[in-house]
Amino acid sequence: MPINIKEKLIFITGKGGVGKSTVACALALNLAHQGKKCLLIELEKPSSIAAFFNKKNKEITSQLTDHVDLKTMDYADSFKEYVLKKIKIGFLYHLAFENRAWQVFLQACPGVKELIVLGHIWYFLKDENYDHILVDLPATGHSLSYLKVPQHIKKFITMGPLFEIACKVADMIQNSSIFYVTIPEKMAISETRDFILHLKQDLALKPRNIFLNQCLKLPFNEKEKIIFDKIEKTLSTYPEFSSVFKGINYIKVLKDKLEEYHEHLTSRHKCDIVELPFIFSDKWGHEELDTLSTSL
Amino acid sequence: MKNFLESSIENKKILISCGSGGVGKTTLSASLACYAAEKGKKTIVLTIDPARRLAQALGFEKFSNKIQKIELKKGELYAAMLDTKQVFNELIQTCSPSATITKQILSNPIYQHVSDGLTGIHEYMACAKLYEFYSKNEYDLIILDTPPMKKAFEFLEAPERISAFFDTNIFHWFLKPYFRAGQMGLKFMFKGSSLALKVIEHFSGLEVLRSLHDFFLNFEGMYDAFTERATSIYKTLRSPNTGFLLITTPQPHRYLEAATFYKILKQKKMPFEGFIFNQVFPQWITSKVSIPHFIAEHNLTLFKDERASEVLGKMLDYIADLDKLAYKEKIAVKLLNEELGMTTTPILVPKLTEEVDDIEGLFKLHQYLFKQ
Repeated sequence: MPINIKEKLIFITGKGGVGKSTVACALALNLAHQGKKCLLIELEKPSSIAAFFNKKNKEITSQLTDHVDLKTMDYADSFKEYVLKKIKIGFLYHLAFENRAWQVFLQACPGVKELIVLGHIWYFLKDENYDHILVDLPATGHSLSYLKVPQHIKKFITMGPLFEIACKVADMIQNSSIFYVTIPEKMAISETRDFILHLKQDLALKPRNIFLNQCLKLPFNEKEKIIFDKIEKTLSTYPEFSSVFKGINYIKVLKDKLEEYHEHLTSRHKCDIVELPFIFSDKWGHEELDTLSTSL
Repeated sequence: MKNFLESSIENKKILISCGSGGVGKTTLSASLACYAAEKGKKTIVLTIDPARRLAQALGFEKFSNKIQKIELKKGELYAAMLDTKQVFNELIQTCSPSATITKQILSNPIYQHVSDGLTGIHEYMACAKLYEFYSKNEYDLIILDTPPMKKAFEFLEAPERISAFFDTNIFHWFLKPYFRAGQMGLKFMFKGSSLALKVIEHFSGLEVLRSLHDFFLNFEGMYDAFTERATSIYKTLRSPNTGFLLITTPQPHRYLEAATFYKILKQKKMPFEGFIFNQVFPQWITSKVSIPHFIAEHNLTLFKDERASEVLGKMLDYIADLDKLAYKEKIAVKLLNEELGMTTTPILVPKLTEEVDDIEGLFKLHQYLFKQ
């Protein structure tokens, strides 16, 4: 299904290990199928997304498909490309920023690095070649921390270029679309709930969608359920099949839980949930991503 | 035969559970603590976890920073959820030469950020509290559930990072001369460092630099006490009374990380106990049956209906897919063990359908953790 997003900037966030990068790719492919030109930004090196497309990603920007470009960057890249070139502070400053004093400053003022990366993203927003900029946010203990960086910085830096960047970036976040990726497990769901609550409380924002990833489905539909019951009645008495039915029942329990979580997030937190299937595959490649992209 | 966990609980005074976020570290730590308490050890489980998940696992909605006694049928079990910031405040109080300096540090905006957002600070404070409990010698066993990290081995790198940050040399090299020069006029100072600071000043305002300066100035007097503390903490981590457990899951990105963790641990000569693989996919197909044969042999009329055969086919394919996943995980665990030349057999805990969110659930886990 084509997914319609009005905002140019899209953030994809969530905890580590929930398949955030694959969902980010699938979302980009979905938009690309609609003819939208996308820039996918990955904030962690080495790139895991490039590998899905069998790319080496030696250059910072590489073309994944006709409509999707990938940029893998970290703080050092943003610093070189954004701070030094775009806010033009001259070559002497270059020396200064490699100095240990600057390193101490970065450590003592957490968030400055992230702010510079976000500032760099702001710069890409002005690029007319792209309809959408998708940012795969790094997995942190708290998925919200990246989005709260400008607020945090403004508390102790009250003037100068860093302050200006913080203001710009805070605005940028307010006008973005935020997608949260999670999995149907209790801890992950309770963290999702916390994320939604804090996003509202701290930033007055709402996630555009919650992607419930890795949902196991039963191998039969509602209509076939009656047939399955008959099969179970006939075969479960044979020991050869007992563990197979245990397996199916295992999935059934997981599926019931999934429905419970879905219901909880929808009714209690008024969220728009999209369930994504568990994909059985040894390796993630273009084909698997396409499958995932159509289930969006 | 005992598995490594049983021996660890018997022989160690400190067990540190490491692992990246989402692997079930907190739940397993709590389960181990229940086991140890039941075996007659006075046990405390410590967690510095902003998500406060242990509370959930132990059936408490809200936890205070105080030590809580957990009611068990048998044994003595305590739990404490520690607020990193509070631990840091206490540490400053202990190391500080005067009440005025303590007050100045605690109200400094840089301190506010450092105590919250400096990389490795949560890990460091977890160890500081662990050390405090250990030196009081009130418990037979302390289990530390480490803070959630992006990568498990960050825990092992935290001490160096924190020490490097508090290294007051930085203060002597950069900040002190800068502010002195500021009074005399900066034009006489145009060397690298003061230039760097000039840039920072331009970039974010003098205010931040002044806070930095004040922070390090105040910290100077307590640096020795602080370092001494750090040395004792790391001695404890390397002591034969301590053991590290690594909790992971059998997914590729996780077990590669587990391997790195193990290598770093060995390099640092820290005592490793073994791996626990959590959320392992169960295997379902136990015998290979030829379906057409089976149907003919048992004269199963149900499958004369094409739709029934179709559903059965889909079902078996699906289970086979699940089993492929389970098989892959098993191989991954085996390869990791071989590659690292491990002598202990890793413990596998299956992915369960029921959620562990109460004491009973924690006890149920013992069948996987201990009786393999």
